[in-house]
Amino acid sequence: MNLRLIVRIAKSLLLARWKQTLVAAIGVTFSITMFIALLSFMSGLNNLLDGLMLNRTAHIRIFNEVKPNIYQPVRMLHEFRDSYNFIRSVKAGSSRQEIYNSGAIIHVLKKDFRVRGVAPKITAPVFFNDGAIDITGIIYGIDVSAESNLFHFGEYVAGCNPLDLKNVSNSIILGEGLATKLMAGIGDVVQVTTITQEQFPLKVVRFFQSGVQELDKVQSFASISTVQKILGKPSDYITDIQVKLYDIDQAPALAKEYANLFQADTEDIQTANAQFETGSFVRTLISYLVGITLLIVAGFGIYNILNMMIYEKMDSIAILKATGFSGRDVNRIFMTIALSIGLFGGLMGLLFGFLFSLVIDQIPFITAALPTVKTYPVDYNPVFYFIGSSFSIVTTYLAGWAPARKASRIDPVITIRGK
Amino acid sequence: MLNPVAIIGDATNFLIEMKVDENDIARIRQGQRVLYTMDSYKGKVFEALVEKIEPLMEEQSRSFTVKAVFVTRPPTLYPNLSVEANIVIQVKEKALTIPRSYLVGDSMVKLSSGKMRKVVVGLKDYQKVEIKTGLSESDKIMESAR
Amino acid sequence: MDTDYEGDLTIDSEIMRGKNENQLALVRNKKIGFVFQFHYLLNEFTALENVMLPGLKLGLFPEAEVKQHALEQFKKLDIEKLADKRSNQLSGGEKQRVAIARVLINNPAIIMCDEPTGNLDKKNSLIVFNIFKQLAEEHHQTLLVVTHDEDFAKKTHRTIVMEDGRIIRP
Repeated sequence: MNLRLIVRIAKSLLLARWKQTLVAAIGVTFSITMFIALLSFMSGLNNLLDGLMLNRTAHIRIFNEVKPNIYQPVRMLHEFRDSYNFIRSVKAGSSRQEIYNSGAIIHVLKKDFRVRGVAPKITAPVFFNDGAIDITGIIYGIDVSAESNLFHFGEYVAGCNPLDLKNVSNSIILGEGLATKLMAGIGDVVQVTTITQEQFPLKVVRFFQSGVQELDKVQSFASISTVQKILGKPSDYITDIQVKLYDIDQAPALAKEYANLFQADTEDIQTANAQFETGSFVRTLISYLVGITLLIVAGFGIYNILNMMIYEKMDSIAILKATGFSGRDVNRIFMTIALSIGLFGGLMGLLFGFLFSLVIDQIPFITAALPTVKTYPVDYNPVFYFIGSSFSIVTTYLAGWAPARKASRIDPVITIRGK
Repeated sequence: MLNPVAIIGDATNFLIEMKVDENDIARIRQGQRVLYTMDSYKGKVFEALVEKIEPLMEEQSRSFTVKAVFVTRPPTLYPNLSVEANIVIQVKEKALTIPRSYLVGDSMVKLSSGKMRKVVVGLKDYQKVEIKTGLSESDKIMESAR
Repeated sequence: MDTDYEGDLTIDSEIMRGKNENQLALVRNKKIGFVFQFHYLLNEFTALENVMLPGLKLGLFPEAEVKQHALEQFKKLDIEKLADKRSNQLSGGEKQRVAIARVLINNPAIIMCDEPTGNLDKKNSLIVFNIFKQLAEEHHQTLLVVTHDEDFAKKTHRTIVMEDGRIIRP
């Protein structure tokens, strides 16, 4: 009841100075627009860049690392267990790279309810023969369909049909940079030499663009069976098992669990790509800082306008008080003015921010490194709109607080006597 | 590839072959104890004795081949199984060791009184150092500030 | 309004000392009507709305009824035609009459006037005085008027002469 009256008075005061009000609201609108557009764009870029790495990286990698055994025989013997042993020149005990019992491990993983998918992989270092020169490179033996489903493999293959790898026997997908070095076109046959000096011809079916040029200069892909054939290994030879989880945050804990369970080495994505998260975090932080700065500037605009309004309306405030409005009522009137500027400006800002994001989304962004991206990436995350609107309310509230308090403290006696 | 048609050998009499780096070969003597584990017998330690040091160094790996005979051995063995072995060069009872980070320079320690003292060090690795003389069990030392 | 005084102040047998700002605001709203030398209408509202505001603030009656009361006051003061005008379109005398109408809306116990005619010409002063006289005689309204206007003072029921803050003739 009282509130309705207050809103009514606030509205009349606002409309009486609608030009100033509009300027203040436009200030808020502008900052919220920029805030939304900036964050959507930044977040879109972040997701794109994260995607470059994270989409293609296994959440957990299971492998056999060639490294010295920490359980040395002398430590296991009862006689020497309690003494301190100086051991010199400890060497890696086993040179086996393949995962022991890989078939059973994959079977267990596929049944685990936390696991979204499993993709086996073979890493084979080879030489590509180009006339007299040998170019070092790596052939990854992959399960094409699993790799496409879990790690978006298809998106990085020019022409987008990675299944050729499966359908054409003894075929290879070359990294773009590697193909250029070898001067190999699609349909050509390249010679590879393994570390055990065996030669093998492979047919090029597609090119691969990862977006990371250094990788494209050495990477190439073939099917698992092809790589097993090249290396002369049996069909259970697997060097890596890549696991994708439903919840990426479980990766470190599960990696430890699997390391124990399978007696193998594991690596989780957080450990492997720690620096990547930091980059995303800093970019996000900067966008938030810029957005908040804009809002603070808009807040000062509101503060100024309210202050001016209070000086102008000194008489009106005095008369409101004389006719029975309390300091709190006056305070509420001016808070209502501030908040409605914030609310109106903020809502317009959300709208314009959304429109602006749509515009950014239409700007062409074509880069050789990212074959599937055609326009600038934008993340339409409702969280940004929520933060934007709450920020606009909070800033205007803070901006209105001091002037409203001043207004509520105006002493009508002094104002009226002063005439 | 050229594969042998057959390999002839005594399937009951086995030897352990170990690769020893040229840095360490001077310490190896005939008759030293060898402790070994095998991938095929996980968690068990067996013993052997150094029998022979091949005098010719393998140039590719800069290491010597040392052969050992079994003292204790697993019940069944096959040719070319892999082994991880430690050769016991010296056993010292009641040796005095200090953490490596307490050693200042090559042969100094800092006493808790702040004075520096020269010591004679013996064996050392990245964690611990053996002190041969110059320090007793009752001395208090401080970590050297870098 | 002013809390800086000595002694005790009683309105309608209620002691004012010790009341907080909100309670004092309520007293001003309900019991006292102020008429000032300058008219102090809110320029953002029409004359009618200006009169209605204290009534709406009191909140005893729904808006339609407050409006009815306000219109009655306009009628009483013979200024119905001013009701829908914006206050900045009114002349000085008209404003003062609207201000008096506003005072009356909550049936105050006392009307306090500070130089109510100080800013008006003879004709308008007379109108305002007649309104006051009518209020006092027909509606038994208590009025406390501070003025420098000797003519005005002579015509009131009781005059207290003050000089430099002291009463010299009760």
